[in-house]
Amino acid sequence: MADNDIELIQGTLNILILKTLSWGPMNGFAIAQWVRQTTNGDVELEEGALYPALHRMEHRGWLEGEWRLSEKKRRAKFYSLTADGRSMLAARTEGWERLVRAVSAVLQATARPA
Amino acid sequence: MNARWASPNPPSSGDREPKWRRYLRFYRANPAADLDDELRDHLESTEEALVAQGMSPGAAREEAARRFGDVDGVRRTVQRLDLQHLRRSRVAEARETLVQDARFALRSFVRSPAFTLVAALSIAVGVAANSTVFSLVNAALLRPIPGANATRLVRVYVNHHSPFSWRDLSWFRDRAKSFDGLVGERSGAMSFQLGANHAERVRTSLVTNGFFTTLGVPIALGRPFGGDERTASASLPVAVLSHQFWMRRFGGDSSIVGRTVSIAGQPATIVGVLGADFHSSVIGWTPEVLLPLAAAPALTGTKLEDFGGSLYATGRLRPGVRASEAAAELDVLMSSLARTDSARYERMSVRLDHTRGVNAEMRTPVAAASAFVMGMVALVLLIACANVANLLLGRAASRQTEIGVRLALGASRARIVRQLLTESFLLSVLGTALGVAIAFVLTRVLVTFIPAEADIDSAFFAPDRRVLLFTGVMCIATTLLFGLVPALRAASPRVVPMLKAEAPRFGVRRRRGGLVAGQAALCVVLLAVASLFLRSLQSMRGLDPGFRVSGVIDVPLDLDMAGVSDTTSMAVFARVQQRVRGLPGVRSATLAAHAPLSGSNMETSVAPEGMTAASRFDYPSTYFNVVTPGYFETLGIPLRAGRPFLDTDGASAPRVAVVNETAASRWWPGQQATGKRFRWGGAEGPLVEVVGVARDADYNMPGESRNAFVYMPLAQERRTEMLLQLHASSNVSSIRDALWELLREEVPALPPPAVTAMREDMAITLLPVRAGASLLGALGLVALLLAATGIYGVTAHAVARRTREIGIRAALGAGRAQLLRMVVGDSLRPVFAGLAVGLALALLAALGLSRVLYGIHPLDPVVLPAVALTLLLVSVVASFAPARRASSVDPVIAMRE
Repeated sequence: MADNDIELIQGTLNILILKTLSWGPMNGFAIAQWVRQTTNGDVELEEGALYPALHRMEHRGWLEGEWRLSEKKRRAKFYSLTADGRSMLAARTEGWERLVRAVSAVLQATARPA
Repeated sequence: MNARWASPNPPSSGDREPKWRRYLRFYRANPAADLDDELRDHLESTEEALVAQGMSPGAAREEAARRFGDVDGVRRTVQRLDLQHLRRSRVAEARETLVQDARFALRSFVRSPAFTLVAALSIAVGVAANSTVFSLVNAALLRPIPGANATRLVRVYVNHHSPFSWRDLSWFRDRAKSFDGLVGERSGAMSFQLGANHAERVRTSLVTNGFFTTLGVPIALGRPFGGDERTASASLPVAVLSHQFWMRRFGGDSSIVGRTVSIAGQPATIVGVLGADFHSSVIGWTPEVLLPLAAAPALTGTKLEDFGGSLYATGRLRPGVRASEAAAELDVLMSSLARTDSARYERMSVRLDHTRGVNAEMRTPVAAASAFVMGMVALVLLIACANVANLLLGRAASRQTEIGVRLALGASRARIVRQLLTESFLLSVLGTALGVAIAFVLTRVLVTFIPAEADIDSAFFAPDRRVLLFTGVMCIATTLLFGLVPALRAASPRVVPMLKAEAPRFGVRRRRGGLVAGQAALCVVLLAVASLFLRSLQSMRGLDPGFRVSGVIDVPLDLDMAGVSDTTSMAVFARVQQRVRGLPGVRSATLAAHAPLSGSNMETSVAPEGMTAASRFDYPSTYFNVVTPGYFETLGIPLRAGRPFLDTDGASAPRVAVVNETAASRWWPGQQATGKRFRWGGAEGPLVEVVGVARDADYNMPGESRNAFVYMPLAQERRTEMLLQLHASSNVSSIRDALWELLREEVPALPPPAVTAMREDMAITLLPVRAGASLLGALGLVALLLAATGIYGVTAHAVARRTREIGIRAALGAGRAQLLRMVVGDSLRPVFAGLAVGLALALLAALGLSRVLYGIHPLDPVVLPAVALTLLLVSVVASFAPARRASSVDPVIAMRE
């Protein structure tokens, strides 16, 4: 993985998955692709790391899995958000934005601390 | 949040999985295969996307794998996560179900308090009986002797279960390397006197060196004695008091330590007091005073070498030594001891045993009695379980609609069974808790039947951890016993008839009838066995024992205990007997080593002249007594031939004996026994001439089969402990003071002896039978009560269900008496069936018991019919009240229901 790749910590991965699934049910491959495309390749997931996160979130009741047949007639597991997952996304988004604002405020500060 | 609905084309939406495939998951979920599918989907999708971008298939596969990372690692991680989740959710689900079921059960208990009360009480009675009896069994057979680290203690016996002589025990103790200590204890009684108080008789234990440290016995006050036996015997004897004796006699006064008292007429110093929970290394023996064995010669004038086999030996295994290794070492030592004196040790062996419960010699009868009583109380528990099962079946019948609705709404059968079992279990817990509480009380009440002087601690029989474990297992077992069948039945999937609430329900009725029949059968067995014991007791009391009982008074005289030396004891006995004969109201007096039928006896072997035996161990054995002239006259035993003992049969006169008829006919069949001779104590014993033949009597048990018996004169067979027996026209209380006055003049150190009527002394032989009879009688009554409750419950329920039918019958002209007969008759049918089975079982039980029943045939013509009649009568009474209710049903109201 290149140096300039953003390292994904667990919580960030969760929020990315939740946000991605807010567009509708997807399988793991689609989630990875969506994230890559949306970030123009700045965020490159180690795709394997997706699955523990997906299963964990399913156990917690944020996601719901459903088996479908893909276009190639393969069994594919599609995840979708549950009500819990949606409210979790809202809460996490707000938390994330607060963090970003706070970190930016520090990084863009012009005055020296007293 | 609208985004989801606004995106009709998710990036990779496919067809839904065909519906039928989902049913595979009902068959069996396969998480591992699912995960493989999921990961394969990802890899192949990536690969296809890359190929679509123009990559070669091989490169695409490599790139897909690179992007994914460690496939196996991910698979393992996800599998672990899934498994964890599965486990956690299963546990959570089970817990939730349980809480739900328990709450539901408690609510239903509150809704039907009468059912709950009767069911819980039934279980409580059954559990109380079992826990109480098991507590006794625990104390008598399973609990090790108290002491620190008691699992390392072992008992050592001579041959199978005999105690050691001092000489042999010392020999083994000095040589055995497997033990950290090997000690012995000898039980006895001595006089105890503090200051100017009267002397009193106390139970004593003489213990060998290191007794307290070997057993790990705590001393509550003062110090134990240990020291060298020789210095102990040279200086003033020391004594340790039992906690109970100290409390009872000295009110727990700690200044007693260091005081000098008189024991067996000799001064001795009290050096310590035992802790409350230790009595003795012999379960059931509760000495009041413990003394070093080394002090015995000074106190009693008997040399240690002359004590004979009377020391119960206990050893503490050295750390790391297994019991089997210690046993092997003892075997080796035994064979080397046998080489030193083959004549003496030829047939001796040494055996290692555990220290749990009573000594090995008592174990077999105690275990047999325990098994018997445990079996009887198990019957009571079974009857109680049948009762509860019955109640549950009745309840299930009236809850059919509720359960039917739940099944119809999709509750699984397993779920309903689980719920009903939870209910049963809670019921069982309720009953068991109550039962254990009753058992705690009962075990303490039982102790009060033992005289306080026996010092049996009130907590001796109290349930301990082992008993509670036993009870817990019983609780679960009873749940399954009474709960499983009703639960399975109630949840049987015949939903529709249940909902219609009009099922014929013959199944339930038949099953409940079966339970009543079972109860009746078990009840008959219990009642029959109890009655046999009661009849046996009755006939034992009525039997002629072959000697005079009424008007005979017993006075034990232990000169040994009073410190009278061996040499003067004979003169003292003679004087006492002479003077007692002169007391007002006394017709005759004698001295005997023991009284017949009083629980003790003596046994030895004899070698009749003219009889040849294969070895010196094969001569006949006989019970015997040592008596003085006047014995046969006092006890009213007629002589069939020859003469009684005379004063001329003194120590220096030729040795003589009187034998009973059985001995005479066995040893010299068809010949005149008087004038014949036998060797006393075996082939090497002294020659004794038979001078008289006495009529047979009972010696050990009333109604026993005939035993050979020999009487020896005291003058030729010296003893220091004798029983003074008087045939008097006066009663016990009027003669007591005069006797006591006389005895104190003759033997100042003698504690006031127990003056009792011989009839009372004989009570001890009847004690086991009497205890058994009262216990079984109580159990029989409980069983009868339980069975009556069961019959009442079934009849009442049947009547309630048949109200409409009864109403129709009444409307069609059936009279009250006819209806009454019908209902009572119906409820008696299973009782009759149970009676038939029960009588057959009772016959078998009676035949099995024939060896312990006296004076009564097991197929006694009174017992079984009486038992059957009692049960029938109780059944009629139990079913009468519901039947009356049925017969007074108003047809109009009944049919409208």
